[in-house]
Amino acid sequence: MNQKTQQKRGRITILKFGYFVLFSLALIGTGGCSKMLDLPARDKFPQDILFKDEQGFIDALTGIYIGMDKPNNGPTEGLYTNNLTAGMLSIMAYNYTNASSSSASSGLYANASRYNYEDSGVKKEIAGIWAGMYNNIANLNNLLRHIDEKRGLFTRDNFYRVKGEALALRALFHFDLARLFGQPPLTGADAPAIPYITKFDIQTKQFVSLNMAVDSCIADLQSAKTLLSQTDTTALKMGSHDLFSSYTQNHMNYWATQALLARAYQYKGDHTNAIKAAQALIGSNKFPLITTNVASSSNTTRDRLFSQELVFSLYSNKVTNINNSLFNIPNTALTLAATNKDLIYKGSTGSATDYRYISWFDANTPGVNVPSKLFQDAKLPYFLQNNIPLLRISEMYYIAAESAGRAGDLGAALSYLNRVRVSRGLTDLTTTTVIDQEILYDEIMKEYKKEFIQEGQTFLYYKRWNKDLAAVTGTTVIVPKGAYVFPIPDKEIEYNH
Amino acid sequence: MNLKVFGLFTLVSIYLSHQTGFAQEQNKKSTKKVVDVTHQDREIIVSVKDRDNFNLLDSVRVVIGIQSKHTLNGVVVFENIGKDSVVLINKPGYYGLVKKLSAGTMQIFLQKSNEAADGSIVNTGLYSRPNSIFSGAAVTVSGTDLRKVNSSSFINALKYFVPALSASRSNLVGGDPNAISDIRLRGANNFAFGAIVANSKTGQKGVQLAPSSADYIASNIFSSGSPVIIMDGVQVSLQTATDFDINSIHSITVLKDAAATAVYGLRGANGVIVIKTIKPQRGLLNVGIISELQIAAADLSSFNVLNAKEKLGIESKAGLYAGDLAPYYAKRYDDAYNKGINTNWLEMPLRQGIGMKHSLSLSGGNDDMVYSVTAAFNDNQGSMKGSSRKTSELGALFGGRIRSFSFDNRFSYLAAVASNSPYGTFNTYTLQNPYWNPYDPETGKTQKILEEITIGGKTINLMNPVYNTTIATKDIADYSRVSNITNLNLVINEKLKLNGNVGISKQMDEVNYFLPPSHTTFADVTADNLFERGHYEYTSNSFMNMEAGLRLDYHNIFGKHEVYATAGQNMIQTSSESTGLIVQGFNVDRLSDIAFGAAYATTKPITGKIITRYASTFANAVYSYANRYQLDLSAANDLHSAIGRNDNSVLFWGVGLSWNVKQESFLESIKWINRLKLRGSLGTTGNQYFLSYLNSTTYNYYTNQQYIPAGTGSGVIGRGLGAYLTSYANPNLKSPETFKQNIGLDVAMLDNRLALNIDLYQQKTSNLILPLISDLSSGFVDYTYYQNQGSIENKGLEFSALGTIYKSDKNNLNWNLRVNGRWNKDEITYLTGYSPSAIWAVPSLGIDSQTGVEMFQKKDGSTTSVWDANDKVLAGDLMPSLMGSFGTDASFRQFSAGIYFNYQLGAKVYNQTLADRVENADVFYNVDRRALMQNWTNTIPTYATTRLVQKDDRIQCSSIMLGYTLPKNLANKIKAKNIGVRCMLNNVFEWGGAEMERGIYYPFQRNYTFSLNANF
Repeated sequence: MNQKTQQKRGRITILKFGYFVLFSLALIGTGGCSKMLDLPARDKFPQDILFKDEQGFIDALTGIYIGMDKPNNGPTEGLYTNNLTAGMLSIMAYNYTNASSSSASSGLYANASRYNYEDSGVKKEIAGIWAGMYNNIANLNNLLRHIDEKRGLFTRDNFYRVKGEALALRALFHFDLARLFGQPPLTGADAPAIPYITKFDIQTKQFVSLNMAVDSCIADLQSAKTLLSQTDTTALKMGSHDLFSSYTQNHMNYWATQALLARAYQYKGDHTNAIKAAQALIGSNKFPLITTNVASSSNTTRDRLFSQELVFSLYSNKVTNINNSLFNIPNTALTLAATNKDLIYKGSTGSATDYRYISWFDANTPGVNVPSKLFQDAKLPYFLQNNIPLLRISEMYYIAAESAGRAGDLGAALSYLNRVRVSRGLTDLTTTTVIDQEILYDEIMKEYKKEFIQEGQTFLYYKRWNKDLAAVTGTTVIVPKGAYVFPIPDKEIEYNH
Repeated sequence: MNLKVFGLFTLVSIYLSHQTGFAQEQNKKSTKKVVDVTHQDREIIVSVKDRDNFNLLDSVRVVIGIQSKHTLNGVVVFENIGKDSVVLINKPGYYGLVKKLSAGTMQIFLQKSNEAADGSIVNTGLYSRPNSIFSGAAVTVSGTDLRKVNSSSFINALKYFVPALSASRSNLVGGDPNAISDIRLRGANNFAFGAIVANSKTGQKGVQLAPSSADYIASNIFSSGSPVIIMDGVQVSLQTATDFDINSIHSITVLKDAAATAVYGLRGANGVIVIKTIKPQRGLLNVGIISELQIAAADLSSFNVLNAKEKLGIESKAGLYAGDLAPYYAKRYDDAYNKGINTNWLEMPLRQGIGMKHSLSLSGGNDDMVYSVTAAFNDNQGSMKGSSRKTSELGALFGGRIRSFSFDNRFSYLAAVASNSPYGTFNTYTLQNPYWNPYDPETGKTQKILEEITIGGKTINLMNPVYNTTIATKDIADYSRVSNITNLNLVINEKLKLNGNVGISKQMDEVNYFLPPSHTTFADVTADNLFERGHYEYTSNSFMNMEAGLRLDYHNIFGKHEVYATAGQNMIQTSSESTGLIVQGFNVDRLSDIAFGAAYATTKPITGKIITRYASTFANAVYSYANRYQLDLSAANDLHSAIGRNDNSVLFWGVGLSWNVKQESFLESIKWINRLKLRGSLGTTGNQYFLSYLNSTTYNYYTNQQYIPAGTGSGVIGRGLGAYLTSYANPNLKSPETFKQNIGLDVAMLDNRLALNIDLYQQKTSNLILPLISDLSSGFVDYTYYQNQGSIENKGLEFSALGTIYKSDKNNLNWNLRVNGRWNKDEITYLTGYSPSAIWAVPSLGIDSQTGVEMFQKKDGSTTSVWDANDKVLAGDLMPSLMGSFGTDASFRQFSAGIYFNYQLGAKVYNQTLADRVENADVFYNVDRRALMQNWTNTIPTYATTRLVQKDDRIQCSSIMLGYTLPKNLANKIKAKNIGVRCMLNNVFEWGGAEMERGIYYPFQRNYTFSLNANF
């Protein structure tokens, strides 16, 4: 072999090795195709697919409305359809005088009636409320995180509707959490209450004070209000283009956002803004007070909820189940003893003519007299069924009355209060009997007791005023200290550091 | 994916089209040369090359007429040739050839007759390297050797040769032919899936509830330490590999360290087991037949229950007849003492399981074309009545060669039917009281109720489990699997080779489980719920695997320098799905069909569908200087669909160094050392066996609820469906990474009669994927966020010594001895620092002889009689610190024999039998004999105590083998190439170990195999 051929061979070898290297590089290059790794999960919806169209956003929002009833792994008994309305909160407002001997849900209600937050059942249920609410908030936050970049997908006013309702719901959940788990505002407005969560991620969030939490709610509500004001606000109780924009009384609509604003301002003690928001609703005439007893048993469309007054009610097909498990049963039905009932409705400025006294208590199928406000017979028109009231116009009159009273205008205050009283079949109160603010506030509290039976708001009203629970409810149990404050779940305390 | 596969094919075809031209061109040149030569002289030049790599072959015997010569540098020259028209070519290890003599230069290619299975070539599945220059830790075992140790389970056989491999059977499943061992190489690299499930719903999210048995992703998630198994180039599950006929295994290579596994990238962390099946033999027709008779017998030596009289005695002693049961004593006494009833319940569900296995192979072919057809049927009957596993298999291979391009296509069909015993689990029978009679004393028929007793006014029927076998109880899983693997090879030139492969396999499984309405399970169903009796579970699932790969191999020698290099890419897609439903409400006992059911027992069928995609680009290069110093570099750049989106490519690497000390001049003169090699490696590999879809945020729809405020009343039509979050993506999820280090020494001496291998290793897996327990306010209530956290470390030493004590060609006398073992230590290096298989118990100070109460030591050192879980200490480790095997085999004339043992030392076990069947035993049912010693007045139950943590040092005789091969001349008389018979005993006996019941749900069993092997 001569040198030349050897050199040539060497060159060829190098050349071939070069090919080899090129080939390797080509392989590595083609490996960068990451699209092939984006796999569609066939048995679940990746968010990219869900949020591909408007309907996906609507479905995600609808999921939260369904979750308000009972989110996955939330409380055993449900959120707004039970614990936060007719269940635990009503029990804590002593709406059912026999609750302390109830064996329902393994003694959950009995323990709740004793404000026994150390009981493992109550503790678990409260942890479930916390977890369920935050689960809904996580769902909202994930929706909100994607909605702005997908704005182009929306038709009509749906973008404002979805985003506005989502923001308002986020405020609603946080506001209720703050009211339940925070200190009473009079004594602990600056004490840490809850984390206010606006992002869906794994970072643990700092607890904020009650005031800050309510401020955040107000901020969210203001943004929601701006967005929802750009939606069609008329289809409250009628059909519209599609199901989503129809019957918005069952949505956290524009008016509900206003009503919640009024409630939040009031809770914070900002009565000037509270009355403004309340007046906006009253002035809108969208939710006229009833003028006759629509809940009367002789009425064929027996409307126990006074549905025209509902600013926001939750749709839930479980209402019948709840009634059947708690009230429409023979021996263990939750009842309000006649003496307590009479004291609430007939005592002092009350009267047996009160429609609520007449029509909100009925003999159940086994013949026991029980609170029947939530009974919604199957024969009723569809819109009178499956509703849980969450915000009603009467509360706006109460807020307006209280705010006017605080501003020193007793006359105006009474005129707001009287409009509800008259609508309920009671007579007007005058400044001759209601001579000062204290009596006014007392009259408003009486109204809360009557109006919000089985709705849970009364307990939160007492909490706002930091009332002596035993005194205002007349409960026979010994009310422990701290009954107003739900304990933060252990799992939250343990892992939120 | 389709695009990718297409791309690969295109690449192949581009190379092909170019290559064909290239090859033709070369041929033209040589023809020209031939012409030149013939014009000059009547001499013939024969050049001989290897078919596979086109290397020139030396020492090839070439015969033309009476001349016989050997090639030098691949060439031999003949002169003065007569009229002979043929040339004979011969070289050991290659197929001989007879070619027609042509004028001038002859190019002849020889085909290797068999691929080395002796470990001289290490086949990593992605490339092959000569062992002499391989720096990694790998063991190759030939199929022949495996079958000497165990002819039914390759894993049990492999365990004998590879101490790094542990194949443990759970004490619960025992010898169940339908249960597979949990295998791992070199200790734990991961937590078992069960331990990392944060909530029950996770099971439905990342891994299916009932995956196909072929789904290697799912099976590796459940058995998270399992190494990857590559069979003929494609990945398979352990179950699939186990179901294939062991007789078709050519060799198995076990890859352990970084240098050997780094190219496997994301798959390599648990090690790799590469199985190669036998290739067809050349010739017109070769027929191979193997027939086996298998007998399985239960090993009950660890069970010791009471007989009827003893049982009655202990019952009265324990005060069983003081209360409600008092009236039953006389009857039972009468049965036991007067009627002589003493039922041996343990034997009730058992039998001698007699099964058969047949394998048939037909193969043939020549240089340009090969084929083979194989068929196998294995009926593996277990020792419990009605328990069996039947597999049938068909295979067809066709291969061909056109110039420098060759291909083969391997098709296989595998079907299995796994039946479980209608008798249920074995532990039911260990509980039955011996004074109960399973048969009606009058009619002799199986009775349903053994005894009826009344306690506190309530009647309790004690049911006879044997009754369930008289009705149509059914528990059968079956599957059929079809796979096709195509291999394409192109030899570009003597230095470059291109290889492409495509594999597709699909398996469909079905599980049918039926408990008829009169099954004893439903004995307590009240009359109101009569139509809820009967239970039928039907699961149907399937798994599909598609793989494609392309590799380029390079080999060159320049002077003292030698380079091997391989680069390639693999792509794999798996899709797995399953649907399961449960139907209840049956009225028919004797027909097991889902059609007779009334309604779903669950609200709806459960389904799961999972797809994964994986792409790996890898390269390996070995540089060897003078066959003395080697540098081995590997890298893999992997993409996987389950890794976080933010960075879904992972780079793995491996570096190996080895030194053939024997090649050094100072050792050249030392003749008694034949081989001395030092090697070391370090590098990283990954693990892909974590839940899929942890990297995506997903939603699901509420299926049973709508939000329809308007609904029917208004006539507005629409839907109010709601979606809710079901997972939160971790876009930063990384693959767990195992950093492996290995140092090894290979020695062979005394004319290769003593071989010794030692490997010292350390592996640290970090970035384990574990659930993050998050605060409730994050909203993670229904799902869990997984992230990389924690690490596990294991280290150890492996040794293996193989000695040929005597070897003589005369009389075929041969005697070998093998000893191997492994010290290993696993440690969770985050949080605890303890082994993942640690046993925790409260330190016991023994039983107080005065009070009979056990005394415990508290954490602060004080003594107490109150058991407190907080006082638990590390009481031992289930994993042995030293385990391995030893054995010997010998051959003499036509006879061969072997005996093989496994041993384990330093393992501890919690004696569950003492706890459950003695101290906490419910004396109402039968108990372990040791309960006779029990003081029944003590009513304090025994909780986890160190008193019951016992040594579990064991030696097991895993196999005894005797074989005889018919002498050649006798075999030839019946036109056979060879005929052999063999008798084998597996799991023969065991010494040592804690005295506890072994095989709770299914007893362990001894296997006897008699086989006949003939080739024609």
